Amino acid sequence: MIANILTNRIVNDIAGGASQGVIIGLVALCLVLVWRATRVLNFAQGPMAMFVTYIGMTQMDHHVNFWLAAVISMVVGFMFSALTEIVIVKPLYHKAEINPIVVMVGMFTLLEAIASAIWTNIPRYPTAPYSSINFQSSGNPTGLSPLSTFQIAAALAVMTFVAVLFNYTSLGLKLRASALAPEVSKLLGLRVSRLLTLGWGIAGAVGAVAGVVISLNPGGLSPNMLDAMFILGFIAAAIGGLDSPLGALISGVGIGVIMQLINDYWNSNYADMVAVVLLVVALMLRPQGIFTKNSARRV
Amino acid sequence: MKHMNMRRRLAALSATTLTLGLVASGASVLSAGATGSDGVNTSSKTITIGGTFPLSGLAAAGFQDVAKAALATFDYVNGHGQVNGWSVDYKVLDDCYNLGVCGAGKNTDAQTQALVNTPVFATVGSLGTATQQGEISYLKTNNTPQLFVSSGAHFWNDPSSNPNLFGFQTNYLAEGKIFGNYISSKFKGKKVGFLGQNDDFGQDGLQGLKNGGVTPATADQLTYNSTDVVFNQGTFRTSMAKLQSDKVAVVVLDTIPQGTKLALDAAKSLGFKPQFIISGVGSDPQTVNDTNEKGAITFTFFNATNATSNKASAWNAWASKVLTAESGKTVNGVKLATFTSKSILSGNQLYGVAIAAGFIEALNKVTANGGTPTRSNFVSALTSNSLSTPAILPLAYSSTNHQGLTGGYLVSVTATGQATGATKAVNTTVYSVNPTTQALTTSKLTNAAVPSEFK
Repeated sequence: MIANILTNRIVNDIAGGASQGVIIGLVALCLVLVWRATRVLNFAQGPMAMFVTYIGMTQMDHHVNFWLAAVISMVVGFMFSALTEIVIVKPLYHKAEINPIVVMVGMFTLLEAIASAIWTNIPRYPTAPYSSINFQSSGNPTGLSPLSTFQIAAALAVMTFVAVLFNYTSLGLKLRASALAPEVSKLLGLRVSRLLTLGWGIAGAVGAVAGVVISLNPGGLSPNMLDAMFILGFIAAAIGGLDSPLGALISGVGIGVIMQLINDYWNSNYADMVAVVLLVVALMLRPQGIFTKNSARRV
Repeated sequence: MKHMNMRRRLAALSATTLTLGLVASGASVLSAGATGSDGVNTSSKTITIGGTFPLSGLAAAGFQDVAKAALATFDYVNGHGQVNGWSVDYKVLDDCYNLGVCGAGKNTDAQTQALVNTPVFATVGSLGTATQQGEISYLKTNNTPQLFVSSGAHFWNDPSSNPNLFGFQTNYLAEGKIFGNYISSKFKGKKVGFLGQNDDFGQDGLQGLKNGGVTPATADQLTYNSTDVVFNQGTFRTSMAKLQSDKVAVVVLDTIPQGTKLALDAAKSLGFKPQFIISGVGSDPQTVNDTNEKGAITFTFFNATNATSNKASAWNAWASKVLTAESGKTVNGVKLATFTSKSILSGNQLYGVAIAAGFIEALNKVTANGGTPTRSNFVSALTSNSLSTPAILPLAYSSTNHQGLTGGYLVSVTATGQATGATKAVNTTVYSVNPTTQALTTSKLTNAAVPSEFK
């Protein structure tokens, strides 16, 4: 009975789609974190994550093990993102909203060009710590492998960390306060500027996790590896609501699963399109995003 | 105010750079003497040609090796005896495969215009089906021959409307037919599945397979979109799962290298172990770089590439010598790949050497006895001679056939990895498919000699 469920076609699609979906969710989460903190849509999110993933994962060439390499990516991701906020984004606050967008699009191109120059366009394949061969049940493959289980677990761990940080710690309260009401927070003695930088830093570290997890997929590590994921992540963030970390996760997983079901039961040619259709429908029904609580939103 | 100053200074600086650039390029044209509007300079005996390739962006992996190997070959021949006193100046420009992610101006339209304005004698080896289809009428209008298009589509063989358009490689219809022929004898009665790209590549491949006597069940004829390799990788998993549950024993892949890798990895994770038969376009083991490819059968029109093949075949030995001599050089602004006498040739490298060799062969014909190349005598030389290149079949154009190569043979993947990937011949049968009648003929592999003009 259980064996039948585990190897069932729909269950397999859901599991396979979820392992792709959590990665979309992670990218969406980065966008949401930066948006909540500073009301900036970070168009360079993908390349920034790619860049720090390279910095960490290429250490494996020097006999650094996977886990340490991943930690290096996260730490560098935090610092790089925080530094980007201080040096590039901070001078643009209180200017036209288009300014940070244009600058980050420039950063997108620049980082991919630099990465190609340093590491070439030839993909690298970091050795994964787990096998990508699916678990078997009564001789039939299930929808998950040790590797995809690890990828899902890593994503969930990051989400949980972010949720606990924001909802149950005083630092989280300060972060939320400085994002929602910077002026009031300043009057209350919070060092808002630093907290905003911290928000970017956390998003950078989350992005690094997304990068590391994606680099273990068959596509490997390449300068363009997160371009597609960024678009899907952007769609997920918009559907879930740019203010909702939980919404980012749920809609990311939802998109992954729906695409996989379309691949299997309809036609893979429609899978990309459906993500966009979902976005249009969601924005028509709830423009503020499905999971956003406060409906007030700057336009 | 400070900003204004800065901006002005920048503007002044870029204007100066531009002027200097113009002067420099003008000077080089002047000093080179009279280069005609057809790219031929009779006083310096230089013929200028060009090609567009993805040198950056997602498609650069593997494909840039074609451009670099061709450039290495022209540079080597220029320095080793030339062609009856003529040298070839090959301009290689980055078109990013029209993916639009490599920066301003890096697209096929802009770069082809740049070549026409240079001017070039012809484009040679420009890569891609969609990218090159978009240039046919532009190049025709500008009287620039479009030679040896690097694409397996069948669109380049249309001499009545495009007399200056020439294909190069064996097309997907022929490759599919050769696969079909092999499968029906070797895997008789086995269930066959197909996964192909949802364009002329997959469609011609499937049609060829049917022409060869193998028609997979409708449910086992699967497709993917070229964008799926980045946007929707899950489709490779569902495709392999479908073929697995249908108990397919032989899977034919008409996939680009990234798609091949995704399909092989998906099959492995499902514990699905069919015999894979992979199109030569998507199988180069050095590009696919996936241990799961070992044992797969693929198609090539070159000698198998492995540690001993560099010596075993005269042409592979010559290609290896050229790439070793040119290793790491920068030619026309492009840095060539590192290659030692121990390196294993990749299919893409042999391809680059082959397009250069084909051009050199034809140039050798028109410049023999002191002849001066013109576009029309060059095209006649192409259609009236059988040209020898590293390919295992001669490049045989005629006034009614601009296909180029018409066949090849089957090899299996014996080793994988970026520098270590290798293949060996399945047998010594060379297949050829007539591009007009689709009739299949076979012959035995021979070790063709390298003509004496290749030093």
